[in-house]
Amino acid sequence: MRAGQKKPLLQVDIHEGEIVAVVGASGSGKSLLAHAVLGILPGNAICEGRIIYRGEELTEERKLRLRGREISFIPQSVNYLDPLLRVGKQVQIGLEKSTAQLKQRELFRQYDLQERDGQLFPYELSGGMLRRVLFATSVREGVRLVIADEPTPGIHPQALAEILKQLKTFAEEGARVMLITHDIMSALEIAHRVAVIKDGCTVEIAEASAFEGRGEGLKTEYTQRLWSALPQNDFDGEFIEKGAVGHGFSGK
Amino acid sequence: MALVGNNLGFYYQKDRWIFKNISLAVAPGEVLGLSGYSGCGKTTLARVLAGYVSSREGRVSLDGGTWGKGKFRPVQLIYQHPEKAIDPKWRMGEVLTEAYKPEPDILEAFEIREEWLKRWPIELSGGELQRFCIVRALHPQTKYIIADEMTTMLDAITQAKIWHSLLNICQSRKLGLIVVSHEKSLLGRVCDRMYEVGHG
Amino acid sequence: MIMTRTEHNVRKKMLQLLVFSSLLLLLLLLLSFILSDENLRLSSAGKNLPPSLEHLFGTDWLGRDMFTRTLKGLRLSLAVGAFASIMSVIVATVMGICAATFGKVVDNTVSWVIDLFIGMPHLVFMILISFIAGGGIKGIVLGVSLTHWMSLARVVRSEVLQIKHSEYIQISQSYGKSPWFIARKHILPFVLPQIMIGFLLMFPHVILHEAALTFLGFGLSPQTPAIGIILSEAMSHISTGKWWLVFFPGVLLVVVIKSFDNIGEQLRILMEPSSSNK
Repeated sequence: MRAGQKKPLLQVDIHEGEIVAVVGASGSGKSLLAHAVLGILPGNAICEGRIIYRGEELTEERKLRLRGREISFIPQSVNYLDPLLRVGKQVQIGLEKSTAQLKQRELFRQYDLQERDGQLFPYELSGGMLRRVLFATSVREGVRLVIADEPTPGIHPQALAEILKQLKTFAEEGARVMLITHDIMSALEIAHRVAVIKDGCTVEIAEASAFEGRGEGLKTEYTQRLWSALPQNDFDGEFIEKGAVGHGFSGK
Repeated sequence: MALVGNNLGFYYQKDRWIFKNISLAVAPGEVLGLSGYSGCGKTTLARVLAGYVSSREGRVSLDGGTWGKGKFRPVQLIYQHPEKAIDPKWRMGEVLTEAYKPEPDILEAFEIREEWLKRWPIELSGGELQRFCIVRALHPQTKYIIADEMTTMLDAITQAKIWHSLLNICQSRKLGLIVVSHEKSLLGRVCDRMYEVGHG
Repeated sequence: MIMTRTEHNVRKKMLQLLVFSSLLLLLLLLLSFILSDENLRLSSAGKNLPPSLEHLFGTDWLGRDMFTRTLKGLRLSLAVGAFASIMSVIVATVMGICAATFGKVVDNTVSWVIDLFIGMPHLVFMILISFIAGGGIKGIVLGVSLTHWMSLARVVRSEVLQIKHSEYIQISQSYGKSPWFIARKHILPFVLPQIMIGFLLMFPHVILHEAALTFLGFGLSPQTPAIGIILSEAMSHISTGKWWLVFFPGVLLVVVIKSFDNIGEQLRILMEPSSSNK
């Protein structure tokens, strides 16, 4: 799968069984990229460039046909669930009609949800449970492309590990996974490559292994700075060296 | 001399405590980190400490006393989403000077450009807006600052830059700072002490 | 990626519609000033003439030019409509902001009054009020403005409730700003667009109801050249085959009202970014 948009230039490609993390600040265009691939951009958006999916151009009609089947989306917010539909039913959407109920129960077991939870409405479930429901809606027979838009904000480490593990399973089963996040550290745990996005442009697509040490393996200066500015690394070291007022706080 | 929360407890529905028995203090010039997972009541605790809501149990005292109603509150809260904390119908210049007129050196420290003052909030990025929110909170009468997930939505470079400037100013003015975040590595970098909220 | 440019065309079309409606109204207004009162002089020679190039809308049973009469009548109706709309917008704004800011008791009272007013049959209520006020222009303005403010007041109330707890207002409070400052600087600019559009959308209602009241004989006196009067007079002549007396004034009234409705509606859509994306 490849997506390319001209001016600003945004280019990402994901191979079968690969996890590519898309990293960038809020407002850099990460979510828009996902929405463009899915064909759920707002009506006034103008989108140029081409999206190639499995060797063929991904047209709007094709998006509509594949969305929720071959292409699955894990949205940023649990607000994407229908507040007026029982969660069990929402998970059944897009499944084979005859086996939908069975499959849904199986998914619930897999995600550690009770069978009777399926009868509940979204507001009756906790945030963590809703995330798991969202995940269950994304698991489909023959999923070939998974797009996860910030699935990990403010989530506790245990649930985070769970989500990352699930994305990894998708990839191991041969799907392409696009993980959109601004949390580089958790992305690096599973991603093969990392696409760094800034102001709607791809700055660099780096191998995950390049994010190491002082980032010598990274090609562009911006990515290096991004890497070293992490609290785990150098943090504000860059600004101290510049001779800014006062001193750094790295020692604490 | 400190911002002290004594035995604080809060709930929205009776007997469903969001947090209980929380006691903490931050002294001028000190940086205290509040960590905890989402939903553990960090944000509510921050709002209680900043005087936005009053606690159901216990009390918050400021340098031994309390603050008056209808006056400038010396404890200022900085929110996670700057775009919600700024009136979308105001120009940035008006936003900046709502409470006081900041000195040029503080604008320089946060790299706020002159031309931004004429713009509308939607024309600036989250990182740029957040800098306005911080400068706004650094009123001459401010004694304590509570930063609630202040840089969670920003990229690492902007995050490092903002913290660098804010910590410098807090140190030179001897302001007490409470940093609320779920990111342990960040708290480890900027805080003198840590306080863990909730039990998971 | 295929993305048609139809959205642009939709926007352009909306703007065109807006400009067209405004120009039409302006033209009618100008004409009503330009046309001389001479045309209203009674003339026995030109009685009951059907529409022609000389008399676009024909003449009535006293030989007055109907085109002139209709336009002058519309002008008065518009003036009354504008005044009554402003009155009810003011009532709505005050009620709405009060309900949202002065606590539970005020809110409950205002909500109760709103429900009470909405519960009454519109026209009956209006007739009642203008009758009590003694009819005439005063009666109409009072009757119309006291029965049209409720829905806008509700909108204003919910808008204010929505931003009352917004972070920027809480921050403003933490700076020790007064409620007056907050209402003036934060709340009013926020609800102003709603109020403007509420005003424009109320306009056609008010004109229509004013015409209805006059038509039913509870409004303006028969000498005033109002559109309602023209219509009610003309009714008695329909059966004698003088269709133009009621047809043209009626159509023009509908056109004017539709234009106002258009302007209000297009502005509402254009100013709401979320709905303009559709």
